[in-house]
Amino acid sequence: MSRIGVFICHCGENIGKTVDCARVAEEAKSFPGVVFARDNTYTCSEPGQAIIREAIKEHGLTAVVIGSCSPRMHESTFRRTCAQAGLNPYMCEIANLREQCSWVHSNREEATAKAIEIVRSVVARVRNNTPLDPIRVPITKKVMVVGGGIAGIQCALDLAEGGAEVVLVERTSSLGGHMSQLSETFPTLDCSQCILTPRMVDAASNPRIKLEMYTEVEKVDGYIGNFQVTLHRKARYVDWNKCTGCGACTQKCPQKKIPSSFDEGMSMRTAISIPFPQAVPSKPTIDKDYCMKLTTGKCGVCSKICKAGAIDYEQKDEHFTVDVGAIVMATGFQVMDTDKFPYYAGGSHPNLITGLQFERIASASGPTSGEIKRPSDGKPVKTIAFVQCAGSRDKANHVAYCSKICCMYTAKHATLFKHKVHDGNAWVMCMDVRTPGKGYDEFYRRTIEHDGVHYIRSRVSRIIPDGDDLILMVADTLDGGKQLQIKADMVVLATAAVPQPDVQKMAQTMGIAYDGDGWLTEVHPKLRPVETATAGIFLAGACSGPKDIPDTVSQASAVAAKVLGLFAHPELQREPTIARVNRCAPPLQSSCVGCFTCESVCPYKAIERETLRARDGSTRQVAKVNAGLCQGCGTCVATCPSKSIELDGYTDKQIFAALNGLV
Amino acid sequence: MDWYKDMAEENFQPKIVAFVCRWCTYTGADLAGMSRLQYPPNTKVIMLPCSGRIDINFVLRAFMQGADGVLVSGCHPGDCHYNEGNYRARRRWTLLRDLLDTLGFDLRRLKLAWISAAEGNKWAQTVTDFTKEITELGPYTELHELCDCVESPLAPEAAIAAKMAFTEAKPAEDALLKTVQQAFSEEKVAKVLGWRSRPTLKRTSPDWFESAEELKDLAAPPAGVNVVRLCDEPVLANEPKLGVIARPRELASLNVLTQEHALNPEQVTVFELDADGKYLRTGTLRELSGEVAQKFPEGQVVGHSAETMQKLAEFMQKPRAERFAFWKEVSQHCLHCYACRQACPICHCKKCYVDKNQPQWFPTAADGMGNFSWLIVRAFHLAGRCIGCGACQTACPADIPLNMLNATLAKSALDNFSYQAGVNPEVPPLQADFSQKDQETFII
Repeated sequence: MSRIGVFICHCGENIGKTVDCARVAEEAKSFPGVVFARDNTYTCSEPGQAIIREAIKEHGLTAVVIGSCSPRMHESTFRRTCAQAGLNPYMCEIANLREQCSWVHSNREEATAKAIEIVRSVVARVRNNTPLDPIRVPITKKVMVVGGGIAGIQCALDLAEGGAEVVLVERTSSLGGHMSQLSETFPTLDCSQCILTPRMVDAASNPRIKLEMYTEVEKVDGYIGNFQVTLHRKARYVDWNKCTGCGACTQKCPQKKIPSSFDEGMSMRTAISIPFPQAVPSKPTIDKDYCMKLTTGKCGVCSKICKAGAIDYEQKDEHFTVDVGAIVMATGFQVMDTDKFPYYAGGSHPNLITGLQFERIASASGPTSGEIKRPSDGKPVKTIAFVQCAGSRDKANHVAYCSKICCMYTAKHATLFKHKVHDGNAWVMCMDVRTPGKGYDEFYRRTIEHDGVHYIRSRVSRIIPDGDDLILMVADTLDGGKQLQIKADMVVLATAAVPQPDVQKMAQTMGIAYDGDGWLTEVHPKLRPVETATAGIFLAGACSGPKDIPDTVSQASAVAAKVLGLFAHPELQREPTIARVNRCAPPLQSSCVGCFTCESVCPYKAIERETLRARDGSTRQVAKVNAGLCQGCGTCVATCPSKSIELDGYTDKQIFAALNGLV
Repeated sequence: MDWYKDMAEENFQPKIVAFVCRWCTYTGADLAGMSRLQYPPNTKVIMLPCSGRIDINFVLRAFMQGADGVLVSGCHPGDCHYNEGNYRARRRWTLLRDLLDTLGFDLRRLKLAWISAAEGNKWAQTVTDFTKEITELGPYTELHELCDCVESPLAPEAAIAAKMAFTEAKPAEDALLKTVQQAFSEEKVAKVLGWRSRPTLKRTSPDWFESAEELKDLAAPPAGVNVVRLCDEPVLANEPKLGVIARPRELASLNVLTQEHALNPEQVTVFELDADGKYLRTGTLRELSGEVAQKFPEGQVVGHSAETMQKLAEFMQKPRAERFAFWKEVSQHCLHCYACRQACPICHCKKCYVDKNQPQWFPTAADGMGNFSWLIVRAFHLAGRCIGCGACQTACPADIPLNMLNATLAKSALDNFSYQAGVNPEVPPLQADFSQKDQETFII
């Protein structure tokens, strides 16, 4: 039998002025199950709460209804009060008599009548409440960071600094990511590798960071605090434990004509190679698509030359699982290739390059040792043209969004060019120049005013090859679309930043969302920018949209703070208002028939399958809710054809009872 | 039961129930309070976590218990706290509204609105406008009066007699018989679902054949019914070596059951017949499940005949009140015998939620309200699942035109979501899916 106590709060005059609280309390006494009812001036005050605690003890209340402000205001306060008196907090419900009654009505009679109905409904509901206990979930205090670029490195270092164990997964054989390819960085023009490589070394040597190089994430199971990640370590054909990183093998390898992806295809590498001289770890891998030993069985030069005996042509791919409590996605971005632009010299002219290729040309460690020479014939470049927004802000052909980093890196490219080629001409075809950020606009102004770079607000309709040179057909948009032709030795397209091509597939296995362009989506773009809708999975850097280095690093540190915050708890406590598949007496055991419509409906992949075994040995599969993943939206409950799922706290019985109280 | 008559007094105060999500609309309603916006006190709120949690039964229940209007509200599309609950809700409401429209329900009394946490104004305005509309419409006496139909007369005798007419079973075709016999002898099947002739009863009924010897009773499939009836069967998902003698209608049913994991299409051997019952070929359900839509005559939505569709279109031309009167009239014959449920190839729940009483989902009495509820609940339960075989209507001893309701939902699924039940077992069920582009002209 329910023994319900009803407490009607005047909230000073807020409720009491329009609602006759004493009458509501008097009426409440007649509702089924109510054994105690009273009104009070300030229920949320300490004396008000004391009245509730005393009443619970004195009258042996099994449930409490408080007619007061919105549950959004004080539900947690009053539930705590009840818990202090030994009552299960989920046996306390709020009737909203302020925001949705006294404040919106002025007729005292009508408002009082409505208040009585609301209280009757909540009393009817609370009679069907059941005590609920918070869900406690253990936390594995280890975090996986996916991606070894600057976002992943920074995040891993901050996490390790905070005491967390980190598994840093990178699919290439070196840390560094796109930042390691850059020449200098805006707006300070400090050398990218000079600031990055010490961090790469720090990450590799930190005892709390375990590197999983040349490894990809295959599958993610589990939920916040308890993920099981299956990793796929690709065969390197080199035993890194034995390898000393001397590099002799890379010198002698006869297969030398493979385009280097680190140099964006502008230099050649060997089949056994270290991606770049400052790579961390500085260990080679064999490219099985090009290695003659692996493709034809003839060669084996590296094995002969290796004094450490580290070459292992028999090495196999490995699959293994790691248990972690949180996952950080720091998978970065790509830039669009020039071949997406057939109207620019067919998209394939050797002197039509991307911004990232220009970074390599401008880099002291790049294919031209930092001299600005063009790829086709190695001739020093005298006139260079930069085309901004190639693909960005171009909904008709490519992507609608602004790639954010191009305005600044183009200004930087033009500056670097002018610093290296004093008598050269640099033209920038821009749509709008967007340079918000500390020291950014100053940098851009310097590019024009100090370094003499010519900016033309324009759109480039065509680029026509003229032998090794390129002619740009430009429409000056500040001069009524006046047609200009600019002849350049080399053209740099600031192509759009796009998501990694395979990140969506990974997002699907993790149950995290991505937008129409393929960027991973944060829960809230402003207030929760580094969290995903799946609790325990976080986003750092450009995987959620184009970002420059300062933003990426800030996000990475923000994620570290979030993860360390999560790990600060001995275990996770979650609201118990989650879905539950019913159980009943044998032989049925559950009215669930295993249609798994709930599985398709659940946005959190919280529906699992469970096998029920009957006494006669026959088995059948039914749905089971993973309490760690369920967020309690209840969509499965309303969709379940056999009404076999309940949402604790919002059960069908409770809703029907509430409805009975109203009409 | 005449409480509703008092409400028709001059000073009519409508009863309105609002089902709202807690993250947007409930917060928006709180904001209206904080802004001290004034609105009529008739609307009482029931808070749920998400509009996706709002069961259509809550709304029906509210109306049955005397509500004159129901407001359903959640976050704007794209703003759902749970990402997609409101998209799923939207699909559900589209289907329900179309069904209620056929039933002659007064749709002006069911209002749907997207109201965000910032739209206190919109909440106050919506409630004010809706209260005014409902006040003008007056009490929903029409629906509440259904409670008065305590006596439910039987269907006209002629209709019942036609239902009871016995027809002689025709023996199964030789080609089919031989194929099934061979499948038994090669141990490809352990049991086969087909039509058994019952000479003493002068009729046929669906049954499992468990050996080649039993096949002497195998009959040709009769029209208007479906051999698949799983609600009394044990769960078959794990059972190996099942066989089914299937016409297009049965094949479509099996596809729906595959979608709902009630069968393993690799383990089911289909002896395929054409629509007239002529043997075509044998294969696993996986192999034969495709192209089901093409197996039905043109102009049909799966099994829903062009004739039913035409009848529905004509019926929809009638004024709303006439449609309501029609269903009120025909539904009063319902006996709650649940023969329609038993005959349905898609019903495979082991415990029907209609039979659950904690909570009691809707009145099970064979009175006006109970019968009308069953009309709605049965049809909606099959939304996006019914393949239109018409077995329910054939089984109905009260001759209620259930096909028309099924066809309404099939039409709604096709028109609004380009979805046909039973044609593709690979896609998620209609209500388990959504598109951001689903239409929503009826939501303010």
